[in-house]
Amino acid sequence: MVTRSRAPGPVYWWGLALIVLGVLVRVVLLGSPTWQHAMQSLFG
Amino acid sequence: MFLTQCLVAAIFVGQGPPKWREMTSFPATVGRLSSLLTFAADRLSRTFFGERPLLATNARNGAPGEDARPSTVQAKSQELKARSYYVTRRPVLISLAAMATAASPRLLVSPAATDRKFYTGIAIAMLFTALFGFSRTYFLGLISGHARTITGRVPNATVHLHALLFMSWLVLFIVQTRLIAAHHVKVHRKLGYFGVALAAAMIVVGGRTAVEAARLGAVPPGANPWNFIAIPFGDIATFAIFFIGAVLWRNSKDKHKRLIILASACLMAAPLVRLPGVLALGALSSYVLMLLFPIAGAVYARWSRGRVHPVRCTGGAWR
Repeated sequence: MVTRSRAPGPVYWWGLALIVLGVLVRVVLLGSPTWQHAMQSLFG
Repeated sequence: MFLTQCLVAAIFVGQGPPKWREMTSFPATVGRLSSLLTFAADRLSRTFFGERPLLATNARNGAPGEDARPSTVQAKSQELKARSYYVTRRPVLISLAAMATAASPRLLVSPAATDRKFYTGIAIAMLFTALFGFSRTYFLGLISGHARTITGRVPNATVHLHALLFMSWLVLFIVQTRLIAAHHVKVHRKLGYFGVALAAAMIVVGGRTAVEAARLGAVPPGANPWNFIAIPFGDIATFAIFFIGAVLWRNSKDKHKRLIILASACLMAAPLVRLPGVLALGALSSYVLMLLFPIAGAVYARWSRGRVHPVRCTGGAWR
């Protein structure tokens, strides 16, 4: 039977979405004083 | 009867309702014509010479004299032999006919062969990206004896260990892809255990390097060190997420190799930002460039598996 199929598993798409989400989170954390205090108290 | 059988053969070779474009394409037309000619030659040879058919559409009514059901054990064994002959011959002939009806020549190339080239290629591209990215600040400095980090500080033991581990990961990535390409799956799996240990060490040492850099204030000008730690921590966290996924889905080769590419791509932001001119494009430009690796993988996956060959769907002998 001739069928049309997608690539096996949309791993790349949710992977790309996760990477982009991670970049956005990092941008937010770069300007977050709460994050700064948390990191400084943990590792400073 | 002959025409009916020709029609049945044409439908059988066509296998369901294919797209109009595929039906009318040149390879499809040639494939159908060749299958019809093969079938006609088979019927004619059987009519005039009484030989075994080249192509059987049905094992029960294929050969002459089979309409009468055998009553003895010997006759039954002969019938079973004849059926096994037809059954073993039919998939090969149908597969050849189906291959002839393929709409695109690239579908006739085994995806595994192109997979091997692609994954090895992307692993080599990542290694060279890291080598070029860190060459100006670190690798050339190691040769000249004046190695520096991007912020200008002299690298300590943690930085050297960090570099060794992360470069080892990229080398291991190439080795693993080559092992799979050479069908050394057992060695690939054994080396995978080393990969797990290496990844765990990378996460620990990567985090330690980021903390030391923040304590020393070794961050880009204008950035707060404790805010900037989100950048290396984020890289390590996304790497860890994708790597854990790759370990969990280690028995699903399609997901596993995609997750390894995603995990390795997360390490590429650091060397990409050190390439000449990238920092001038903006702080986030390295992340945009980093996305090119998984995007290349997605485009390749779509290109190579966007359409499934009919023989692969029917589990034909071609695969």
